Amino acid sequence: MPPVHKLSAMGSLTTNKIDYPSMLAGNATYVPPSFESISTVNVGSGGAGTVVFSSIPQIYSHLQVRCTVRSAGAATYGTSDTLSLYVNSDGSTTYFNNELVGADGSAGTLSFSGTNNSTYSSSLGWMATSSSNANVFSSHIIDILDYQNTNKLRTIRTFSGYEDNRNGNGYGEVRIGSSLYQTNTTAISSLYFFVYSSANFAQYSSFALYGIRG
Amino acid sequence: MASTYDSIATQTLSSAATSVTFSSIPSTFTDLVLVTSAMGDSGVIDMVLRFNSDSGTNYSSSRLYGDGTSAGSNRSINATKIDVNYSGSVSTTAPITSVITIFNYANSTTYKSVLMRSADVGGTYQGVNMIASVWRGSSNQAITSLTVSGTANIKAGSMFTLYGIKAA
Repeated sequence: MPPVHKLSAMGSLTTNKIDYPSMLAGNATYVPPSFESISTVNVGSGGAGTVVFSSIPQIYSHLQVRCTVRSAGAATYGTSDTLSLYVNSDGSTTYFNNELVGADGSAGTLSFSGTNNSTYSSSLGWMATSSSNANVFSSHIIDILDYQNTNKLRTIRTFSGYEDNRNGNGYGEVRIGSSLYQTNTTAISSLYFFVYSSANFAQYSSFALYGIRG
Repeated sequence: MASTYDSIATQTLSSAATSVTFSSIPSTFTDLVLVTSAMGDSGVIDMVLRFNSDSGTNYSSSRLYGDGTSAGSNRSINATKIDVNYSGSVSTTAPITSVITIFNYANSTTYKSVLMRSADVGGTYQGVNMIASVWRGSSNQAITSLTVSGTANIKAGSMFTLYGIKAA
């Protein structure tokens, strides 16, 4: 291959040229980041009934969703509602949800639960609602490992929680959860988030989808 | 393409200090992640986290823990800080390790929420913790600095790294 010249490093076309043996022309090899932002949804002033990530690129090893959310509706339980998810738009009785929760009205409680054949992933954590203190949003980190492998079922792993700084009618919790998606081993190409009560996500809720390379 | 998960700064104590502060945090990321590996200098200590030097009663936390014997949860509201460890757990020999995520830290519209995992291994209390916290800063101010303080000196060699995660 004839030598490559980088124009920005040349004195002129005829003098002070540097010969590079490869097309990199002295530049470092580009290495894509291991943790890459795929898409973000910021809920606007009108709220949003659902948040959907579709056509998820099949080029990563793992997916992570990081979100801060609040329901525009009133609470379903206490001051909370449930952040809920369909995988690949699947609302059949296919999710096996398990959760460990430290939750509190005024005194510490610990609970754990498991529910098979649920029609949605319910272990993503409880979320703040219009019944919560103003400006309080719940936080959720959701991992989906090996999402494009067609030889295994998928587990959705969650770490979540929120605090609304009130006793009595207030609420705080921290939760770890898992959901086994049992329908098939098809690669995961879409994630469909909704509020269990069908209320809107409130303004300033945000969802960020990341891909993690192996 | 810019990196999404970036190291902002690392502080490794060359001598014992009562606190470590990250100031002038750039507002260009979406979330912050603080990773700590810290020990007490001359005895067991506790460590706490505060934002923007605010020591008002603007913090609250829910905690889920397991200590090898039992599991449980507790809660504090209207607190003056976020506890990074459980009381009496940061020893002089075994570091407490923690990963602390601060969501949407740069916005000025909402309270700031925090998720934390930490492991206490060497003090009078030993166990694992998961903590959800909120900081109700005045006017929902953006977080521009954070400080981890010890009840006594934090030992030399303790390390604190702050990362930024940027959404598209």
